[in-house]
Amino acid sequence: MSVQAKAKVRLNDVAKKFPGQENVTALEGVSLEVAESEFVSIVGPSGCGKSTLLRLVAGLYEPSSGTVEIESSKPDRPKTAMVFQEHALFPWLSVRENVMFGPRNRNMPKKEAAEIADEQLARLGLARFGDFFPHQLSGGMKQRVGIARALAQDAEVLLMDEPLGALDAQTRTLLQEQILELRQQTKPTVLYITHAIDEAVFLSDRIVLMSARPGRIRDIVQLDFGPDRSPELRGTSEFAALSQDIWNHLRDEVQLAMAVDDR
Amino acid sequence: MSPSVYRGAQAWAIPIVLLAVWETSTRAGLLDPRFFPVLSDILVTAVDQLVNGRLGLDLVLTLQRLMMAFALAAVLGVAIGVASGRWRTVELLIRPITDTLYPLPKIALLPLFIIIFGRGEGAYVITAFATGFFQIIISTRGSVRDVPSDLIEAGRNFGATGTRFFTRLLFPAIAPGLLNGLRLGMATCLITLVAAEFVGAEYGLGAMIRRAGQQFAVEEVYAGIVLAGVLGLLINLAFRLVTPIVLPWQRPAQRAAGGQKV
Amino acid sequence: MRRALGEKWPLFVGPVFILLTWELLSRADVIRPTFFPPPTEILIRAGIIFDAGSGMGGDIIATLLRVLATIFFAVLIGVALGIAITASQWMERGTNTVLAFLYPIPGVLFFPFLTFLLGRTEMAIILTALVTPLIVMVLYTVAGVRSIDRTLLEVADNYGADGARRFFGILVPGALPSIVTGIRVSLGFTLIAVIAIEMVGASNGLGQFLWSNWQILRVTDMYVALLIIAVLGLLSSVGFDAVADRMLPWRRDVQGAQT
Ligand SMILES: Nc1ncnc2c1ncn2[C@@H]1O[C@H](COP(=O)(O)OP(=O)(O)OP(=O)(O)O)[C@@H](O)[C@H]1O
Ligand SMILES: [Mg+2]
Repeated sequence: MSVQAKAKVRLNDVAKKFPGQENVTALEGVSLEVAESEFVSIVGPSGCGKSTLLRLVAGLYEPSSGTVEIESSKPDRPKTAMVFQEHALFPWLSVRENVMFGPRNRNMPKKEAAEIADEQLARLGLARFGDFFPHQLSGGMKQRVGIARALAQDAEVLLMDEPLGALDAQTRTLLQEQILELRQQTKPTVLYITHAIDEAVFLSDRIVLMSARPGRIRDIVQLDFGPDRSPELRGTSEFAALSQDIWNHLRDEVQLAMAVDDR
Repeated sequence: MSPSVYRGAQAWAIPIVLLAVWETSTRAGLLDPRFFPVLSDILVTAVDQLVNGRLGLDLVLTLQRLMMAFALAAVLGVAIGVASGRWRTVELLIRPITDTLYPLPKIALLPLFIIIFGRGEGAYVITAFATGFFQIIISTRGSVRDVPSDLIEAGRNFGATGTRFFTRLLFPAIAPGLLNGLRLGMATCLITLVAAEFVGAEYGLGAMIRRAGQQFAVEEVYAGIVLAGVLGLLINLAFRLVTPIVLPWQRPAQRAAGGQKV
Repeated sequence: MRRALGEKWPLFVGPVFILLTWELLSRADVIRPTFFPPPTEILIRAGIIFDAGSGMGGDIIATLLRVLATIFFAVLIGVALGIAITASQWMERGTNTVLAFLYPIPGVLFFPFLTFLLGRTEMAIILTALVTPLIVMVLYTVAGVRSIDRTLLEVADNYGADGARRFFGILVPGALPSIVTGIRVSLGFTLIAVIAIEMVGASNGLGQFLWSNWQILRVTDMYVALLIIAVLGLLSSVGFDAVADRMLPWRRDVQGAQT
C-alpha cells in the first residue's frame, strides 16, 4: 500500500454487524488509508458491504469494532459529503435550495449560500436550472445536482455511492468525464463506489477489490495514470488489459456472492 | 428476545402503563372520582350492566342494527362499486351522487330518515347503512381501477369472459382491497350507528350512554365508551381472522401491510 | 372541450332525474309535500340564509367557526405529536395500540363526559369534536414520516440538518403529502362531530337548526340546513382537493415516486 501524502481517511480493523433475525456481518477486518487528494474506488459483488463502508466513513453508522478517523484541515469544515445512488434530492426544495442545503445547515447567510450553489451548478452545466424542482429534471441532471450539493459542502472527503449507477451508458460516459475534470480542478479526496470496472479504472488512483459477504478487502490495485489522464485513455490497450485483469480477480467473488444469495 | 415478542412488548407497554396509572391514581384519590372513576369499577359496572342491567339488551340491539346495515351496505356497495369501476357510463351516472353524498355527514340525514321510516328501527339502520354504503362503493371502485390493465388483457386473452371474468379474474384481483374496504365500511357503519343512537334513539349502546350522561352515571358512560371501542377492535380482529381464509394466496407480509391502512 | 362535455352527459342524468321526479311527485301529491316539499320550494326558501330574522346566517357561521377551530387544533397538535412519537419505537407502537382502540369510538360519545367537566361550553363542544380528527392527524403524520425515503434522512444527517431544521425542513415537508390526506379525512370527521354535537347539545349551529326545525316539523327549513351541510361536505372534499393540489408544487413527484 503506497502512502504518498498525509492520510486523510484511516479505517482501522473495522467490522460492522447488523443485529436482528439474520445477524448479518456486513464488514470484517477492513483497514484502509486514503491519502489527501487521492481518488480511491471500491468494487465488489452486490451486498458485500460497500455502501455500509461508506456510511461508516460518513458517520451514519457506528462501527461494531475498530475505528474510523478523518483528518480535519479546518475546525469548521464538514468532514464528509455524500453523493447517493438514487440522487436523493429533496423533492420539495428547488434545485438551488437543494445545493444550498449543507451551507444553510451551517447557518451560512442565504445570499452567500446561494452564490456558492450557483457557482457549483454552473460548474456542472446547470446554471439555468436553479429554480427548477427536481421532478422537472432528467436523471442525469438530478445526479449532477447531487454532485453539486456535495461540492457545495467543500468537505474533507467526498463520498460517492454508485453515483452513475442508475444512468444510461451515454450519460454515464459524459458524467465520468465531468468527474475526471472535477478531480483535476479541485483535487478532492474521494471514496468512490461503482459496479463498473472500466469506470473505476478510468477515474481512480487505487481500486479496492472486496470479497463477498462478509466483506473484506481482497486486493488493492494501484493505477499509475495520474490525475491528468485524458478521456482517450479508454481506447488504449493498457486500459483494456487492466480492466480484464481486475474482472478476473473479481469473478470468483461475484459467483460466490450469487451462490450465497441462492441459498 | 425474539423480534415478535419485542414488537408485542413495544405495542403494549404504554397502554398498560396508562391503565396502571389510571387505576392507581384514582384508587389513591388523586383524581376527582366524580369525573374519573376507578378503572376496575368501570369494568365491574360494564359486566354488571351487561348481565343484570339493560346494557345487554342495548348491545344486542346495536349489533342487530349493525348487521343489517352492514349486510345491505356490503351487497349494494360492492355491486355498484364494481359496476362503476368497470363501466364508464355507470361511473358518470353515479359520480355526482357519490361525490355529493359521500362527504355529507350521514347523521344529518337522521331526521329525514325518521320522517320516511318513522321512529322505528328503520331510520337508524338506514343512517348507518348510508355511511358504509358510500364508503364501500368508493373503496371498491378504487380497487377495481387499481387492477393492472395488462392483467385484465392477459385474462381476456386466455379466454376469461362473461361471468368467468368476474369469478376467476376480477374478484380474486380486487379481493384484498375489497376486504379492506368492507372492514372500513363496517367500522364506519358502527361509528355512525352509535352516534345516531346517541343523538336520537331510545335504546342501543349510544342511547344508553346519552341516558347515563343525563343521570350523571359516570361509570356507565365510561363502560359504554369502552364497549364501543371493544366493538371496533372486534371488527378489526374479525377481518384479520377472515383474511387468510379468504385470501390463502396472499403472503403474510402483504396481509399485514393491507391491514394497517387507516 | 365540447366533445368532452358531449361524452360526459351521463353526469347530469342522475341528479336531474332524481330532482325532477321528486318535484313532480311532490307537486302531484303522490308523496306528501309536508314531508317532501318540491326542490324548487326548498331552493326559494334557501333565501333565509341571508335573512337576519331567521338567524340561519349566524348558525352557519357558528358551525364554520367550530369546524375551523377544531381542524386548526387537530392539525397543530396532531402533527407535532405525530412527529414527536416517531422518535421512539416504544412511543410509536404504544400510541398506535391506544389509538386503534379510540379510533372507532364516535367522538360525540365523549360529550357527556366533557360537559360534566366543563359545562355546556364552546370548549366542551370543540374538545369533543377534536377527539377523532386528532387521532386521524396523529396516525397520518406518523405514516407520513414513515414514508419518507430513508436515504433523504441520511442526507439530512450527512449534511448536518438537526433540531428545528430537521423538523421543519425535512420531517414536516416529507410527511406533508400524508398530512394533507389526513387533513382531508379529518375535515370529514370534524364536520360529522360538530353537526352531531350541535344536534344534541348546542344552542346554535347548523346541526341545532336542523334538529329543532325537524322537531317542530318545519320541514322545508330542515331541508335548507341539509343543503348547506351538503355544500360544506363538498367543500371539505372536492374543494379541499382543488386547493391542496395547488399547495404542493412537488406533489406530483412525490406521488409518482410512491407508485
Ligand atoms: N441498515 C441495515 N440493517 C440491516 N442490514 C443491513 C443494513 N444495511 C446493510 N445491511 C446488510 O449488509 C450487507 C451489505 O449491504 P450494503 O448495502 O453495504 O451492500 P453493497 O455492497 O452496497 O451492495 P450493492 O452493491 O447491492 O449496493 C447486506 O447483506 C445488507 O443486507
Ligand atoms: Mg450499495
